[in-house]
Amino acid sequence: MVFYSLYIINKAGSLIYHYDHNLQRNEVEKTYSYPLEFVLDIVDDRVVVRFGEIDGIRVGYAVLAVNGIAVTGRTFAKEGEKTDIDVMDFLGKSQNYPVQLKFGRPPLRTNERIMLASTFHSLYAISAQISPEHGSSGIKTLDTDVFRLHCFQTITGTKFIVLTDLRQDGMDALLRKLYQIYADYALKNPFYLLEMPVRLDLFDQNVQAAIEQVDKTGVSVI
Amino acid sequence: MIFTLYIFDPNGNCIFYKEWTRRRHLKMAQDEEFKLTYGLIASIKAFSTRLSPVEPKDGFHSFATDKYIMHFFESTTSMKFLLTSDLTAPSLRDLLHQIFLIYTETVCRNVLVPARGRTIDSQLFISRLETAIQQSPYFSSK
Repeated sequence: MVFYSLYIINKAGSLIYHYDHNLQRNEVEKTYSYPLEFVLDIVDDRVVVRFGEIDGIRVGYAVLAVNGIAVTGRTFAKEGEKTDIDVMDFLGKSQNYPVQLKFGRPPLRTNERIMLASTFHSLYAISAQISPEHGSSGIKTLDTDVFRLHCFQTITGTKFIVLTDLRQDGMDALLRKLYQIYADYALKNPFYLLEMPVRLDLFDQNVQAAIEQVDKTGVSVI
Repeated sequence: MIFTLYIFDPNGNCIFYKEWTRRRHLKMAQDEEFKLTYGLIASIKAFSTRLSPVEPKDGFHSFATDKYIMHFFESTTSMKFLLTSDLTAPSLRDLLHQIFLIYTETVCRNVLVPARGRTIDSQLFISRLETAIQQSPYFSSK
């Protein structure tokens, strides 16, 4: 099985913990000459491909590196230059070519994760509301073509969300195990404030250990 | 057991709705329910594409609660087909695709039906849909 991510959302819908496990990134690095074959644009403070899917580069991919230097936001630091260089300005000048660019799906930023977590919180509530059957809960699993989301809501309203590949069944055991770890290492910690982000080393270690164990040997051993 | 079917056009209008065994009805007006359902599906689509750890192809397929499953199929023309069933049904995407084919044959290819924004009132569509749903092994009107 492949385990992708864990999210914990408190009862008010804000993200209190997230953990990514062996996320593989699909990145493409190539050398280009002037002018570029595709249209780039600034979206959400990132340089993103707007038009022109070619050589495995897809619309929505961001420029991750220019000539091997990592891009942060819309700029990158160049040796010998005091200020950071704007990627769009740099790529607009023909004297900077040939240039080596690395493209990939932009990784989620913390702000986006918080936004997605609160989105899920409301999707969960609405899915229970529109149910054609009486007494339905919210979303328990959500299937897409590439991953499956498993959600477990505790009786106190905290949601544990796990993303795995499609082959995975019986994730309830892992979700309950994570709930137990949360109760043991976060809630029982006298320095942990309820409903606040979890930043505790012992909790991190135990979550990681539980996930690694499942990743190697499957859910049956928990 | 199959509960309901919704068909939405690319603008988010519900152009067809039918229910079979539906035990719970919402306290809101029916068009409010359609808007809520469409909103939910549109948000889930955006949500799952953004959250996806690997490159998604067609994204969201279905979600399940402890009482029902919502199956989703979207055509390349952004027509959205939604089917709710109980938990015994596995993926009903094949059935949704079949419904999509019935729709193209009886509604899209009918020159007398305006291309966009009209609810489906074709009797041929309704009767063929009814047959397809009732022939499904997961349909039973218990």
